[in-house]
Amino acid sequence: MHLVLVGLSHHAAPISVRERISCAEHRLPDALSHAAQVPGVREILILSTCNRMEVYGVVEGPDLGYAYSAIARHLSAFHNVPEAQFDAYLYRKAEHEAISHLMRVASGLDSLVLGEAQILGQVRTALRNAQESGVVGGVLSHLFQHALNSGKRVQQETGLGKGAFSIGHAAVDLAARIFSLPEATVLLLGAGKMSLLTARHLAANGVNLIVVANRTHEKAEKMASNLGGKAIRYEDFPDMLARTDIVIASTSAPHPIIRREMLQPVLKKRRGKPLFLIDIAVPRDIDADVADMDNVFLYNIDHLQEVVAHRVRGRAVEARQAEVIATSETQEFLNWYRAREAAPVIKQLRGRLDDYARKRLEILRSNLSPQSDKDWAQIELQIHSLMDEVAREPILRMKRASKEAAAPAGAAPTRYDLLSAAREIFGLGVDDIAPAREETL
Amino acid sequence: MTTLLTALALALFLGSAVCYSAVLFLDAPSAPAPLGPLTASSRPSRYSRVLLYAGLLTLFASIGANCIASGHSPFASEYGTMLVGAFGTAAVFAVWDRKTRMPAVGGVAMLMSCLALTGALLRTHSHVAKDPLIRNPLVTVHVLAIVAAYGLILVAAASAGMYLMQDRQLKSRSGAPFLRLLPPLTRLDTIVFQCVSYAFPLLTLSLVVIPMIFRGDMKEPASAWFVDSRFVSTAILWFLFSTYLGGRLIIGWRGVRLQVILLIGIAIAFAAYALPTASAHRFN
Repeated sequence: MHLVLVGLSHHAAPISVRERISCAEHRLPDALSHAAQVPGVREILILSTCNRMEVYGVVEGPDLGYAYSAIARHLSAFHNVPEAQFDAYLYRKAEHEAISHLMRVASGLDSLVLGEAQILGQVRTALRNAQESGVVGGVLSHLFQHALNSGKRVQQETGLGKGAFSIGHAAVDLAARIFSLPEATVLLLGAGKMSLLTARHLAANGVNLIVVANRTHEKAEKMASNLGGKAIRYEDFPDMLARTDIVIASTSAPHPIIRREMLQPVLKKRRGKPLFLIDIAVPRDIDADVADMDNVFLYNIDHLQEVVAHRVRGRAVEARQAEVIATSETQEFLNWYRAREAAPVIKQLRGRLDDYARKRLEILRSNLSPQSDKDWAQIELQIHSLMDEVAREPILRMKRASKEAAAPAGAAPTRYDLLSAAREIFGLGVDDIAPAREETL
Repeated sequence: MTTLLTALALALFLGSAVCYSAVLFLDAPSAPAPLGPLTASSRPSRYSRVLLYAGLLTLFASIGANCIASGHSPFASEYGTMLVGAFGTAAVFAVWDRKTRMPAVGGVAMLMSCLALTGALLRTHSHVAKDPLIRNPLVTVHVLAIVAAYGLILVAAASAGMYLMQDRQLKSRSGAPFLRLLPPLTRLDTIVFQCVSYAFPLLTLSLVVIPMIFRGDMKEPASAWFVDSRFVSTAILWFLFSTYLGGRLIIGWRGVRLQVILLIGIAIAFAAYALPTASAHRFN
């Protein structure tokens, strides 16, 4: 059984690739049940954010390559994207590497904006979705709990996420370089959390008017009242563009909703007045070629994050502290994970010794002359004590060996083969050792 | 005395230009509290204003000293004209600066004033025109209108240039914080528009008074004036600005292309201005 990860992220994959295999929240249950059908998969979890798409799995079988290919095939089939179009951007990790990667992700160490806290909520949501779909068991639940713990500790114990320039701040910073904000009108397309947060930043900087358009008009009205703006029908947003200065798009539409052809007449009406388009949706809401138009400034999530990253550089000390936390959480999980594999062997060994003791007692009862109950109790106690004495040292060493095996590479020579040795020596069949789901030693 | 005062004014303007430019790099908006507005401190900006006002007073004294020493209006010599030019540019900016804080525009405007003062200091012994025409009050009106208009034009050119820089930076989406405090595009656009709006009637006035100045006293044929580089330069600017204002007010032109057209027009006009002159502008 292996813990594997197949995914891609902003480090290598451009947004044009990420948006094609990203998974909107409403499609996650389908994606999870589709992934759970992959042969050999015992547990599955999908972490899909605007920066990354990662599939974590617990898979059976000795062939890791097969598991990787099967998950990649699932991504291709579910998103209807040929594997060749994203395969070069995929990373494939297993066991310690996969665990360590998740801890760093949840701690904000793998984010473009170092230490950003939003990823923690996204990890939590990913775990909840997988639990609700019933596709995660003890291993991934435990792993993600440790990841959440790592993220929380980084936020609480280090200054990595404090005072950070967020996407909202970046949007305000850029908007203030184009408009005098008290004169600017903002149009929100979609009523997502990110757009709400960005709009709040703009509102706090005194924009003139905020207009909200959403497919569900009630949501738009709710958000508009929240921001002190007004709601319009979603169908009316193209007309509104001519009177808007800043557009924040974050709908879950699978295709761009603002295209070049739509903007051409709008720009004529605007007569050269700049238009700032903020596209924080993945998949993107605004066609990329719009950026070439005169007086149009288009920033997608990658551009905004780059702006933010420029502002939060130089946090080497905090990043090191966060790395220490992520490593310690990785270690704790590995201890549990390895010990979990040792547990069935130890249980088998104890069962085997108990069997020997019971058989010896039966022989003694048939061969010895009748004894008093008190004497039998004494004999039973002595035999069980003998078995305990025999078992104590091997069990102690197996426990220690499993912990040593969990140590980071190069830290100490592994003695993990003791588990196999114990199976061999005591004749414990592999087949009759069922992995313990929630057991700990 | 006047040279000393001019040198002092140059030093003060230079200090002001440095402070205004420093604001651009030092006063980056700081990471705010959650949902808080972007903030920027303005200490260098305060120093730059003090230096600007001190420089203006010193330069005013220098122009006055020059008039007393030569017994002529400042426009009787290249030196005096350049002093007034530097004063006009700095004064135009000072008016803007009171209305709206624009360190970026200040950096460029003060630098241009410094260039004019440096040019003046290189011509401290320039020829003083003896032509009695200089004493005509209409000449003073003509030159004052031109100097004020050129001050406005320099501020407009600086703002249009910054508009294009800001536009390029935003288009490149590099995320680099370089020159983060350039004014917003819409405000730069407004500054350009207002500068041109004020410069246009001043240019018109300066052109209108020319025939009045030379009425019955024209030494050169009228055709000589039409090929005079200063006249050609002003005429180019007049046509450029009338087109700009017409396009802006009637058709509603704005944005990058308009700034490019304006900058090219101003560059051509200034190139024409730099050509040798054959008329009364020779300070004979």
